[in-house]
Amino acid sequence: MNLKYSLLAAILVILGFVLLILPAKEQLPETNPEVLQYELNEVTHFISTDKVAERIINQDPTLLLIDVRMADDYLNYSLPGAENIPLKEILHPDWDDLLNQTDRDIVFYSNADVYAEQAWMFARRKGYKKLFVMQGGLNNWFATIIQPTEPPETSSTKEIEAYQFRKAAGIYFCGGQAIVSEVNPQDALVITRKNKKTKVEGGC
Amino acid sequence: MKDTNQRTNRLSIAAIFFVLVIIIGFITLHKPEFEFKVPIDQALDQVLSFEDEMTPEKATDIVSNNMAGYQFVDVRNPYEFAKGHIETAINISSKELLASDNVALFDQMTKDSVRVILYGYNQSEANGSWMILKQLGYKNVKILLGGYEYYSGEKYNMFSESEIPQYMVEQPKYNFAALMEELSDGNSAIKPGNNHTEVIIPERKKKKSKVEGGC
Repeated sequence: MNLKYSLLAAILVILGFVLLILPAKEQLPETNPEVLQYELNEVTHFISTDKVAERIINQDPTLLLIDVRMADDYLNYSLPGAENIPLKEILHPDWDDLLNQTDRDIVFYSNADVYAEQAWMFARRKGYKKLFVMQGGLNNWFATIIQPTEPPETSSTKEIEAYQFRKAAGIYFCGGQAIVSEVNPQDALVITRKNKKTKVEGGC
Repeated sequence: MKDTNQRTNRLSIAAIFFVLVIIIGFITLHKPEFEFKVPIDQALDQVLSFEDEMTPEKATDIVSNNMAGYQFVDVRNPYEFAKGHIETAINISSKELLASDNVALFDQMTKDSVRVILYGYNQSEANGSWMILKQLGYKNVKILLGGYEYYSGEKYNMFSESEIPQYMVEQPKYNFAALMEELSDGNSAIKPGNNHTEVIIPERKKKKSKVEGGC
């Protein structure tokens, strides 16, 4: 009888010790390859340059831009408010606090979207969440926001509205006075008209 | 006496139950089908080494000379694949990448030391699949720079004599800083912190001519 009791007690004590010896749980479990594969296929990680522009203009506090290019390139030109984490330093523990959070949407960008996606992949594999990649990178940013091409007159109103938003956004980023305060495309439309006048007068 | 027996019984039942719960716990412990075999820092080094990137020139060389030991894998969907693909390529769309028969195929190709070259419409499209396979431990997987877009000559002329090949997508297409300065020229007075320098003034003159032409 007593033996049985002590046996059970011994088992529990041993299990307790095993728990003690077990390594402390890692902060985040690694993301499963299948999950990553799924997210890549669904392209949920891409965010368009239009969306990024809109959020910068609206001074969205939940947006955190991360420039994954070399420090030189970053210093030469970067998007407003962007932080610099070169791709080769993406795993450095210094950046853990910045990347491991859920308050903000982190948007990686590089000149195109390949390096940014690679950075996304490594951060995502570490289990970090709310990570995105700016589609097409800075090359696309300049082609769509800074110097958008005018759509042909036959294009849909949606396309024309998108173009007008881009034009206004471009002027905003070039240091113009345009302040697009609303996400609403109609507001953007009104502002754009005003801006077109200024453009004719003085170039953007 | 009877009382003690009952207690012993209950005790053993509890003990058995206890052990059973632990055993069931171990059995149902979820073991994922796929695991990254390459440690994350090694994977980063692999990416940064650019070793597994194949230029379109090399790819055309392989196809036109029928070189053995290479297998092109098209990761676009079957519809895109049907519209046109690299002659010797097989189609494994990125959605099906980790399907069991495809994994078996990759295992087989690794065993036969066939070099697998992944490509999508552009580099970006195959990038994810390539990185997943690399990190799963397939060493012989490469990615085609420029993708099918470049290879097929749909958009670019492969033999154009530009300094930086167009398939190097991460090269800046603009001089960002200069272009921004040029474009914000007319508005630079508004920009905060711009009044401290006179260096900008000669640059402004230079740019006026450009503004007339372009913007």
